[in-house]
Amino acid sequence: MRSHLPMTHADERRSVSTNKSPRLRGAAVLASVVSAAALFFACVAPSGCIAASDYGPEKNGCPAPDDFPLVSQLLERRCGTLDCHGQPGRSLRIYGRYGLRLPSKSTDPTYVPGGLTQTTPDELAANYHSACGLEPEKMADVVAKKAKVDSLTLVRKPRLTEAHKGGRLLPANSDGDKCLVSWIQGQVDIDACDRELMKP
Amino acid sequence: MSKLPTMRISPRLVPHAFAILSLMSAGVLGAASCADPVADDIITALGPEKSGVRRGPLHRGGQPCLACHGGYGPGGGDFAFAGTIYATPTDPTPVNAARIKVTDATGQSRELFSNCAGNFLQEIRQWTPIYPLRVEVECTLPVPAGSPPGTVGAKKRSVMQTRIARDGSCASCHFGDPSQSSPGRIGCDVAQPTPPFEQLAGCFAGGG
Repeated sequence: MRSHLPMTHADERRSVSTNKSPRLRGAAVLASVVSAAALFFACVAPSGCIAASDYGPEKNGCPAPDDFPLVSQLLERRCGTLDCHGQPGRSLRIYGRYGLRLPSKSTDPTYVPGGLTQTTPDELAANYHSACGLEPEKMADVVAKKAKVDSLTLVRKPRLTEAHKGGRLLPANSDGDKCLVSWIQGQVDIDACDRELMKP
Repeated sequence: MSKLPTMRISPRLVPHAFAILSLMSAGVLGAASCADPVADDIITALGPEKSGVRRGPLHRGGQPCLACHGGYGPGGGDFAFAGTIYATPTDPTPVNAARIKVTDATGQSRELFSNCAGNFLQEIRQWTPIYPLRVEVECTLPVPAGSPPGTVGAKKRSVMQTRIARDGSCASCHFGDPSQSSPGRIGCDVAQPTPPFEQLAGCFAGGG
């Protein structure tokens, strides 16, 4: 069937290549092997990177996620307004009921900033990753008690011991500061968090 | 190979030429260092003035006012904050005479009223508030038809759920219909009351 068809340019090239010398044929085989290997690494290497990041901050030295919802509320209220860290361009990006919503296919009309839909588990997870991912190595050192908690930008900025356009939101030893710092140090001060969240 | 044309300068003029070139370079570098490409993009995206509306307090309702009136843009008179009040978050009917009360972190407050385009503004030379700001809006609902003369509509007061932390342009966050990235327009109510708000007739008469 195929032989009845007119010969295409590709067929011509193929017929030429089959008439190559054994040395050329060897080179072609080698090129194919190299290409296949390159293709293999191109496919496997990225998935390898994704697998590494799949470990998440929990295993890379981040405070326990158990009490984070309370801390997330603090970050949502004090940091996550739409004109501050509730913006997609921020390295510390906070999602939540009162600010930016995590992009979703949801068509729920209450899934909007200030809407009735509470902060979702996905948004909590995103906030957790954001808080720990701001300075992951330093956070790991602080959790492992190899560095001081006030070396973290997450703590210094709201204390205004580092330049912060949003100003001094959580002064050192205030309830909000205690809430955040105690979580990083492994034992969240629930009372301090509650007191801070009761404030307007 | 053709010889390139050359320009001969008298040795006496060399210092002058050098000074002129230095000034030109400084001008170019100075202009480049003052430009803010992000702000420029925001201003460009606002587009031209709406036909039939003059520049002034009635123009560009629903746009982020401080993009131009925040110290960088081309607008005169820098604002501390400014915005537009609409009927509802989804209804772009501007509301006249809404009362906007803004309280800053030190407890100082100012009351403003929206104009017929729904716009309100606070010039920074009159008040520089300390962030964060608490905002409440009070609107007078339209009076039902057939009400006795002199009837005043009911008041509807809303308090913003969060504080404004740093951006005095209300429309930076309150833009368009509610979405996952915006609570929608600043509305007097969540739904149009009965009777509905209507734009004041002749608001832009004479080009605003």
